[in-house]
Amino acid sequence: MFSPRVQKLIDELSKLPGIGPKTAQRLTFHLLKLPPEEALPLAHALIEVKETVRFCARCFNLTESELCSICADPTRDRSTLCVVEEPADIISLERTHEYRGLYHVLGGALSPIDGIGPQKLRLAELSERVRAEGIQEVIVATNPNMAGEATALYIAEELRPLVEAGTLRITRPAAGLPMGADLEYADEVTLSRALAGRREIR
Amino acid sequence: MLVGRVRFLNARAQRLLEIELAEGVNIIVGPNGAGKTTVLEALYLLLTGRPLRAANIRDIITEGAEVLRIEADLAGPTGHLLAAAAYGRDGTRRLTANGARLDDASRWKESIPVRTFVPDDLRLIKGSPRRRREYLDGLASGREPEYSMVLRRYEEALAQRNALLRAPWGTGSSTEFTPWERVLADTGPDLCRMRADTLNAFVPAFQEMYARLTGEPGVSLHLVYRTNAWGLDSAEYRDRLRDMRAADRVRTYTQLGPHRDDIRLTRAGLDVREYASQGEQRTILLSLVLAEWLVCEQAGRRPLLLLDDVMSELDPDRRRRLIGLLLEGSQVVITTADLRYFESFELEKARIIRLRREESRV
Repeated sequence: MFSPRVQKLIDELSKLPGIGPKTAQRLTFHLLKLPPEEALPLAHALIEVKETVRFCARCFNLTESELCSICADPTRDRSTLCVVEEPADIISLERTHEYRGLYHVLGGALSPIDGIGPQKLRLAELSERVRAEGIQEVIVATNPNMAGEATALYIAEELRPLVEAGTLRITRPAAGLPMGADLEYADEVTLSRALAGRREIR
Repeated sequence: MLVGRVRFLNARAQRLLEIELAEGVNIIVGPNGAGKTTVLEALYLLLTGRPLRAANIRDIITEGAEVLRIEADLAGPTGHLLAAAAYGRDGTRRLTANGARLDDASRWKESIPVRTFVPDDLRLIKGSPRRRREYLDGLASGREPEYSMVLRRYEEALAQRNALLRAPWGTGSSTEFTPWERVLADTGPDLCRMRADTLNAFVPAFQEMYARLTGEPGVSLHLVYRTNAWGLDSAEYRDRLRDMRAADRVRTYTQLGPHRDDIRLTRAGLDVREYASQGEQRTILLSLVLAEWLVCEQAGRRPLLLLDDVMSELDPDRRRRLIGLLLEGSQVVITTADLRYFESFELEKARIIRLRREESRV
């Protein structure tokens, strides 16, 4: 229906998450209408990002050099490691300015249904790092859904010997009610966890 | 809540139909092919999000039409609400309540529980255990508020463990299995307990309905809960799952657990499937539906009961008994080809809705 090159662009765009064939077609025609000086920067940005951005050799965050800015920062607390699923989670946690330790990006969560077993995640690297770097606390900040919880349990199981030896603490961020929310609209799981994890008012 | 005006567009042979349901018994009468059952199908689809019987939603859309629309006025203690659904031939659907978009058709499950009886659908009795588990799930989630959530967690963890059993990369190591087995051991025993409690509480209603419908004692009828995970606490359940890993990997599915439950319908200890005639099985099925309906009524949830051509199935005595029962309920829609099945005093208390074959061709 379209020329082979146009069809190729539509096909490539429709491989992106959340983009179906119709949207891909719309985007393609939009790009075709743009003058070259507006369309080409997108292509250049894509090439640059793929050529320069890679994973940090230590924590697997995104970086343009060997180590990411957090791993390279000498002021960070090197005894604490926060485990997250994706690099985007680091950005959220950094925005809080509450956490001064290091990170470890797993690259997802365990989900056999989607073919994701322990080997597909950077779990072996995590175990090795915790031992080699003398980490004292691991905060498992995987998502509070079943896959994230299962991954947290897996990590706890793997690192159990260190916990039993008294050299490591494994924690999980508290689960509870979001700020500014109404109790009325909270689901039962969130509410029961929030109750289980209640604290003294001081 | 009660259903008032119902309108639908492009449902089977009905291009456009508008009817007004009343509180109490509504009788839809018309010749074969007038679209009586279509009214039930459309109501059921709107309020449950699922097709009645085994029909595909696409099959309900009029041939040549693109979109099926169903609307109903729902009247409750707090006012009126317009429930609407549009189903496209391309599989799209759009559900709204007073124009506001809904994600999920189960929105109406709480406010208007729908119960149906279709005489030639004996799958609940004769079909696979899955059917009976779904029935039990429906009963249990109406009784125990946390049931659906526990079931969802159980099913998700089960699917993950089954995928792990089949995964070519699986090593069979304990750490791979433990996270999912912990969730299963947390939820499995709770499911068994809630299912058994639900069934025990339900049996008397079932027996009562059978007795009222037939005039014969129903006490020898029983619903027996069958599970392979009975009496295990969470720790024992975990141990059993762990011990069965190797065997489960060979079979590629999880053998232990309530996902393999079944209900046995018995009379004086005999399986109904084996001893009962077709007619008797229908009566038993109708008693089950009526018992569910009774439980809903007693809980003040005002269910909608849809009965498809039930009168032709029963002898005059049972017909009279059934109508007597139905007149006590909040809202019933019943289809028939012949009003002579009803006594004149019964007809006086009911709303009669006549469908003609011509109308459906408009």
